[in-house]
Amino acid sequence: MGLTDLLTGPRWRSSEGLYGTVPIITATLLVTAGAILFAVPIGVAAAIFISEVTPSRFKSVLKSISEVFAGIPSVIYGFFGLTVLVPLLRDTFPSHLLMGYSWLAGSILLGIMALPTIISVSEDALSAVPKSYREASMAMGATKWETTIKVVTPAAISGISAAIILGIGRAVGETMAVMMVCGNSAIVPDPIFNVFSRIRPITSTIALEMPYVVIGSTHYSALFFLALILMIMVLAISMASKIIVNRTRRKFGETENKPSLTGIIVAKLPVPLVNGFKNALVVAGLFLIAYFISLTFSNSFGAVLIGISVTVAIVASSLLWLNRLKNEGVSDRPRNPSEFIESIPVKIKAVSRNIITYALVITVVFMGASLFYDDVVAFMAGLAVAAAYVTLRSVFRRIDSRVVQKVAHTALLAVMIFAILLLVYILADIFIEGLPMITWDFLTGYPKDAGRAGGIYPAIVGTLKLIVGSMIIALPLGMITGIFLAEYAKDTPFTRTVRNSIDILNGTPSIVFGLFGMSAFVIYFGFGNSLLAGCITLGLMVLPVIIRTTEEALKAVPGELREGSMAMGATKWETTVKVVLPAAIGSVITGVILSIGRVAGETAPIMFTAVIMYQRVMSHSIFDPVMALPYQLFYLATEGMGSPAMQSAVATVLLIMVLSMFTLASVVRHYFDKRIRW
Amino acid sequence: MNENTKLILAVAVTAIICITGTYVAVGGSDGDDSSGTTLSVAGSTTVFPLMGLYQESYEKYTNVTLEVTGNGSGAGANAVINGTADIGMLSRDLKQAEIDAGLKSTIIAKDGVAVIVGSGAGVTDLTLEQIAKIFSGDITNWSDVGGTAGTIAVTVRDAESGTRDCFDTVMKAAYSSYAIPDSANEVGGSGAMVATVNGNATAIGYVSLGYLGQLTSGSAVKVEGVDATPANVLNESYQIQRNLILATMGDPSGAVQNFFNWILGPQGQQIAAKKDFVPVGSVTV
Repeated sequence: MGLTDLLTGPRWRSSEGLYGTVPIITATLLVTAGAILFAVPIGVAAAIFISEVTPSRFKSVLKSISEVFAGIPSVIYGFFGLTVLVPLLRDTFPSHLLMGYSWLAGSILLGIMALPTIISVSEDALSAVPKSYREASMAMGATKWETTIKVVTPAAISGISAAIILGIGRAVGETMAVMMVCGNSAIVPDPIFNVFSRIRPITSTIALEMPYVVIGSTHYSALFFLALILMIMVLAISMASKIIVNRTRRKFGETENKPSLTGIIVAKLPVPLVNGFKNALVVAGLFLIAYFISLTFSNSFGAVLIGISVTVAIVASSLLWLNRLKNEGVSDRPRNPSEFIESIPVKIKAVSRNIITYALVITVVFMGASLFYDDVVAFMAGLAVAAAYVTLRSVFRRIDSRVVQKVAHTALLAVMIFAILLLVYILADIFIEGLPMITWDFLTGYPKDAGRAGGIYPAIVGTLKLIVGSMIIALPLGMITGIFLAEYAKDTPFTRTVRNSIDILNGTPSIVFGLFGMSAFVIYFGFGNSLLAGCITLGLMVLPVIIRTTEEALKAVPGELREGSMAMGATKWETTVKVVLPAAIGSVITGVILSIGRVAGETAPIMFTAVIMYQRVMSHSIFDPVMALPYQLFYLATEGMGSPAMQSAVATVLLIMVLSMFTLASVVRHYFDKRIRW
Repeated sequence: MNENTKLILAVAVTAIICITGTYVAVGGSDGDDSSGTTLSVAGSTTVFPLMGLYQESYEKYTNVTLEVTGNGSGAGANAVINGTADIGMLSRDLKQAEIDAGLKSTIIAKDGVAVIVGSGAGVTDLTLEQIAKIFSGDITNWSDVGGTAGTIAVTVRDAESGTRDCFDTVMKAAYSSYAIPDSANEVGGSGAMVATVNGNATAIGYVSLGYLGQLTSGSAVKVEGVDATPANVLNESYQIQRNLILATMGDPSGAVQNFFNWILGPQGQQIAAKKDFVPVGSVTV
């Protein structure tokens, strides 16, 4: 089986030895795109509301609500999707969704999960816009809303883009929730925008097929190939967000990051070679995008032809355009895309922006409507919506700007309330059903009848064991590395590369850790499906978080403290241990508690490394597997085992455990925030 | 609450969590200390509930502890081959590749695969050919097989399921162009299959007899006029049937062999019969 077969094969069916990744990769792209369409308007609106409209005393409340969203384990979202969202969609679209399992369900769920990232990062970006910008705009007589939309948001646009990209990163790597609601058919939706289709993204495929793969077989390699593609996607996403963050820094006059090893190597290469490489990358990227899109409606030979012709067309027309600009003496040959865009005359820009907007509106409405009505009606609907959009825009231009502000702020408030209600609903749904089930016997009893009845004691203890074990592995290693990076490491290209690698590790999807843990610890080192293998895997997963929080916390301690201590004759080590570390301990503890919350709720890394479904007697050997709460919930919910109340009760216990970690973290942070003053 | 109280509280909670955690992690004496053998069991979700019952009874007599996971027949066989489980549960016979890898099978019971339909289907009896055509997508409406008009929602098991293996084999024999379309709704376990049919009035699926007790809405249809019952599996008039086996690397020995002997003895077989499986030993149904 060659690389081309993997990349162009239209079918993935392990039982027949078919490992074409087209439907799988397409599914990941589609479900992510859908999630972003859902999350970006809500997330950005909520961020604008929190940053620009909310009175300052409510700000921290709203921000911590969005943090609660982030703290809920993905298996809980999956459980909510399975028990509430899927039946709801099935009943809303009875003629389109026979079961409710769909791309639509997956995207909505992923969108909810990406919300906290988008809200908090966008909010930071908006708040970072200097006050003088707002004052200047208001002084010119603009209303608050006009200032927000025309001055503050454009100034923060890079940060907001970074937020969206990070949200994409979260959605791409998510496993449990999508696996529970997407229906998992390895098909390309027909037509490509059919949101009611069942799909099977990369992460679900790995999680579904890993249990029965034969080690060393073609199938095994194909799953690792999928993991590789996932990693490439995540890498590309993290690089893109880095580039954008750097650009923002430059814009607000901060210095850029110094280059890492790779940066230095690139700088030493001859310029034509680098440029040639960049151009080749752009051309390859264009070709791949065109190729993949056309694969959905054409065979692979046709797709290659379309890919080549689209690429040639784009490259040729942009070269012609550039040449014309040069001949007219409008500018020198633009060196990068943004200069290129700036070189376009204002009028043409405005017109083309309008054309693009209308085309987009019409296309999106057409795609949505054509799922319900025939194409002609759908197209008319697209036109109608575009016309309504034009009318509304001109109406809004004419009415009083204070009225516009009122309407806009009300709309933002509505979005914020929607987001909060969503959270309350998810939590209430689980708590109301689950809490009455929780008795002392349930918490301390052993399961009966294959987990359908009885208690969940072994699962609670198993989760605690996983927490303690992973912390024993990650804490010393992570804190020492963090201290080293902050206090001892000089700012060399090598340490910058280490830091970049840690960031990449931080963004790695948890299913990839699961895959790695299984092949390395379970199989290669021969630990078997065991507590030990699970703890190491989870430990590795939270290591980057602990390193980074320790490092950031230590760096936040002012240099004067160190200088003062050194001046008293203390050694560097004494200073670090007795002065710097105590000053930073609040943030370090907060980081550690947050990682404990994450470990408690993660399912994907332990499902092939450490857990079993049913245990009547607990073993105390670290080479034996354990039961764990998140996996138990996943298994009960997907297998329909036990009453819904029993499932909700397991979810409730898990939620209480995780949320109390978050509350604890915020109490600790508050306490130290107030105590420590420089 | 003043600041000091808050801090003390926070430290106390952290300490409690750490201490309890360490206590259980290093194996404090919580009364369930096991000094005996541990056997890890993985595989078929059909056999999983049965294994759960075996476990509850067997652990009373011996100091053997069982660790059980249900993740599909293929997963069970591969877990034994990969060395991550001692016993694999399969709801189909071993494939040649698995025998070549050194697996040996012990038949513990027979089982029928019931065809289950949602509460709104309006059918009680289907022929093998009708069933095969429905699953191939050649019949898409319940009214075409004498039921209430409504699009049929086909649900199948994952490719590695023993139940699917058995079902597909019988269907292929009944209808030569039997083929499951890629777009069929696929579920990863027997319980998930039942849950799907419980929740969807127009659904059709298939599941082990041992899971029919979980079917709360909808029903099992007669196949070629024969009810899906253990008695009809035993007298072979019900056609969709297979063996349930336990697989080991090489012949079973030691604790595994003792366990297998107990399963095949009167006590074990009685439990299988209670779960609606068909015993292979000398127990009357």
